[in-house]
Order: sequence, then C-alpha cells, then structure tokens
Amino acid sequence: MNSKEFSNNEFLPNLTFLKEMLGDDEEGLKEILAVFVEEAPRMLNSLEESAKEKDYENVKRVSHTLITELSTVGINSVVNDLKRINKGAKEMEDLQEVIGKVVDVVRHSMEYFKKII
Amino acid sequence: MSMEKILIIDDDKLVRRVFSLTLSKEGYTILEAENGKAGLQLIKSEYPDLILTDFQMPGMNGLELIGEINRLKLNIPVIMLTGYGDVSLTIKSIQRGAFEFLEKPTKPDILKSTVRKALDAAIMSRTLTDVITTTQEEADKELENNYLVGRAPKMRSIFKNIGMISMNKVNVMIEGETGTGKELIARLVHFSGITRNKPLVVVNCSALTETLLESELFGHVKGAFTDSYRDKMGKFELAGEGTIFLDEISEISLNTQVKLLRVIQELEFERVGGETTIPMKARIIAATNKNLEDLIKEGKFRRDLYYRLKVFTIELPPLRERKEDIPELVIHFLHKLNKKFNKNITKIGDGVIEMLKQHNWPGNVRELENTILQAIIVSKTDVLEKQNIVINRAFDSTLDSAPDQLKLRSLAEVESEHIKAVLDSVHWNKVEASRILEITRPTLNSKIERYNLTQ
Repeated sequence: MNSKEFSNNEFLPNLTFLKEMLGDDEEGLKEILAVFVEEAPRMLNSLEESAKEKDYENVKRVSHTLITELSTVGINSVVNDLKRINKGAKEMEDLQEVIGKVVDVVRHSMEYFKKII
Repeated sequence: MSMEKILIIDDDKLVRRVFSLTLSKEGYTILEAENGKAGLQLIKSEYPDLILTDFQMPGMNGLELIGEINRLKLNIPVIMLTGYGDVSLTIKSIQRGAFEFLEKPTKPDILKSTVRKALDAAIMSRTLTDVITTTQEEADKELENNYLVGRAPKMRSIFKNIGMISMNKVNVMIEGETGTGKELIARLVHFSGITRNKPLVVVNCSALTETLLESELFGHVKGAFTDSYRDKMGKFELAGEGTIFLDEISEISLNTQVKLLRVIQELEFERVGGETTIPMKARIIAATNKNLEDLIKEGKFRRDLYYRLKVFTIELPPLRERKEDIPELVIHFLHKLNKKFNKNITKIGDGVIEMLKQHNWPGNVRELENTILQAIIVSKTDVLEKQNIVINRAFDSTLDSAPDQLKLRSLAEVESEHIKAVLDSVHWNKVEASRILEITRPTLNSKIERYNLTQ
C-alpha cells in the first residue's frame, strides 16, 4: 500500500462510533486514542512475529483483540482482513501480505490519531 | 446521581476505558480490573452492583470467573463481553448464570439499556431474597409482615394511620373495591397494636340469613330456636377484648342494624333468647365495597350506625390507582405462592412488570394474585415469563366509563375475549393456548371459528 492510497478518505479512521460512546467528551476521546497509540505497536509487532514463527494460536488471539480495538477506534478498512486471519491464518497463503496491509493501515491511522491527541 | 457501582474486567485497556468513560457519564461509579484475579479481589472488597467481564482473558477466562463469582453467592449480575467469534461461548456463559452478553464493540444505547436492565433485575432479585429471609426468620410469628405491601403514597398514608389507630380501640370502617385487601388491613390493625394478643373474629355478613347472623353475632341460649339444644357464645363474646371484623357490613338487615347499633352504644348485649347482659369489649372493624352514603339515601343503611362504625375510615385505593406497587406485589405473591405450591420462581422476566402495569385490574390485588398464581402453575423455569401470564383484558376499555355494566356481559363474550387474550399472549401458538385454557386443540379451533377470532 502506498501513500497515494492513504490520501483516500476511505482509509481514514472513522471516529463516529467513539463519539457516539463518549458524547462531547473531547478529553475522553483523546485519552482513548492515546491508549490505542500506546498499545497498538506492541500488538502489531506480536502479530507480525507470530505469523513469521507460525504461532497461529497467538495470531488468532492478537487478531481477536485487534478486531475489537480497530472497530472501536474506527479503523474499519482492515477489520475484515483481521477476521479472515482470525478464522484461518494457517490456511492463508497470503497471510504475510494481509498482515503487512493491516500493519500499514494501522500505523498510518496512528499518525492521524497523534495529530488529534 | 446514581451511586450504583459497576466493575469492568477486561485485559484490553482500550475497551475498559471506553466502557468506563461511557458508563461514568451515566452516573455510575466505575471500578476497573485487568484480569479475573484482580476482579475477584475488587468484588470481595467493593461489592459492586454489576460486573461486566471480558470472556477471553489470560489466566482466568470469563466463564471461569463467573464460576468463582457464583461461589461467592453475592447475587451480583454479570454481563459477559464477547468479541469476534465468541458466539458459542456466550451460550455457556448464559447457562452459567450470566445476565446477558454484549458483543464488542457495543453500541452505546444497547450498553446503557442492558446495564440498566441488569441493575433493575438485581434489585428485584435482592428484594425477593430479603423477603424470604425475613419470613424464614419470623416464621413463628403471626404478624402483619405478609400484608405490608405497598409504597404508593395512599398506601403509605394508610400504614401510618394503622400505626396510630392500632394503639387505640376505636371502631374502624374500611372502604374499598372487591379484591383490594380489606380483610388484610383489618388483620393488620388487629395484629399490629394493643389487640395483637387478643382474639380476632371474622364474620362475613353476607353469608348468613338475618336470624343466623344475629345468632352468630350475639350467641343464643338453649331453646331459643327449634334446633338450639345448648347455649352458644356469639362472635362478640368470642372476640372478648380483641377485634370483631364485620365484612360486607352493607349486607346486614335494618333489624340487625338496630341491634348492632345498640351494642355499640350500650357496650353490652344479650344472647338471643337470653336475659343476662354481657359486656362488649371488642373493637369493631367493618368493611364494605359499597357506597354506604348511597345506601343511607336509599334507606337501606342507618346513618347513626354508619357514624358509630366510621370513627376512623380507611379508604383502600383500587390497584389501578397504585400501579407503582405492582412490582412489590408481584414479588410478594411469588414468595407466598412459591411456598404454597412448592415452586421456586425467583426471577421476573423482561417486560412482565410493564405488561402488568398496562392492565386496569378491575378485580384489584386479588385478580393480580390469581394471575400470578396461574403463571406460576404453568411455569417450567425459575423465571416468571411474560408468555405464561394471561391477563383478562376484556374489562380494560370499558372500566372507566361503565363499571356497573361489567357484570352484564354474556358468557360467550367473556369467553371469546379471554380466548383471544390467551392466544395473543402466546403469539397464537395454539398448542400453548390449549394447554393454558385446558381445552383440546380441536375445541380451541372450533371456538376460534365460532367467535371468528383472528390474529
């Protein structure tokens, strides 16, 4: 995925859900995004490493957590990819490629979040 | 602001914080734990009102945590938070006793309403437990604890008045529609005050002929009647220094009214056929479901007797005017009927109270009790379910406009409307409706056809 693709709004995080949950609590929103920015690198790392080491149990566990987290902070464009990974990472021939895509999108979104917080 | 305490257990900090911020805005006090072990410690030290727990956590998963919480017997509801692909496990969590499960991310309105429902259900459940505990502890005492049901302003005022009059032996008139609990109030007056260790004698004035009623009230001597082979004490004598409760006082004849008036005025009486004067020391509580003022105008009831009996008046409101008491009454009847019919229905299903509150209850508390009884009998679980409750709505629409005409409906009309009500309540499941109505399915079909009933 290149930077041209990221300029498309489709790949921008959608904060509608969080705003519905938190109402007009701007500080709360910033806190949640900060938590995500703090926690996400560790999970992405774990996902990549586990896939390389064919530790599919951990791939499943991390992808499970990421599905909830990305849905919460509105990084929806890769949620279906994570669901595929969660259901059958072992059978996925394109596992590394898909994980690469997920990591790129999440990292790009984190930059977006950093501007907000 | 609510001070209800909610514990959120999730190893995912982001989820914890989102739930915490969302629910704290609703006024709840929020506690957080990042795993089951830390959660259990907080449960023991903080005793939260509700627990939201993740399913997939390292160390102890949500299912194991529910098991631990159950062992504590704290009666705290648990909402299981599930993620992608956890559906099969949610069934197990419900089987283990979770109140509900929510899939993450959870929409705010669903989160808030589910949390509220769980908290309300817990309040109900705890109230029921309290009632049972109290009753078990006081099982040997015959006291009013079964009757003090009602928090509506009118009922609170009545209970306050009972507190006052029970310490004085004034005559009391209890007015109220059929089924409002007039005899229960009479018992309460008797048992809660200075007469509690004295006899309480109940007389249903409508059940006896004039002659028999006089004999029952005042007693008779041997030979007073053809069949009176020996002396017999009357109810006034039997009541001694306690209470005589004259139910349906409007039904006594004018002749008996004169004699009763004399007893009240002179505080003495003679047995029928006797000459010995016996002192009357009992307090009289009379009850009526009729408007005695109207009967006085019609010349059917003596005004002087009315005022002698009506030293203190208790007006019992119909149930439709105290619908806020329905939840407490339901709990009371569940407790009472569980014991009587060896059932163990301890939970109240969704929408049950709302459904009961929609009805006008022309038969008042007695009708509510019978409705709960019917539901208890057909229930197969420990939950009072909506589908097991059959309410006769036939009178609802006509109640306010023409209450006196209610009795003039034909049997076919009532049957038709009752069958329709049962069918509607079970979503036209004819097997279920036949079971409730205790008729065969062909009979039900023929009645549906005869009354032209449709969904």
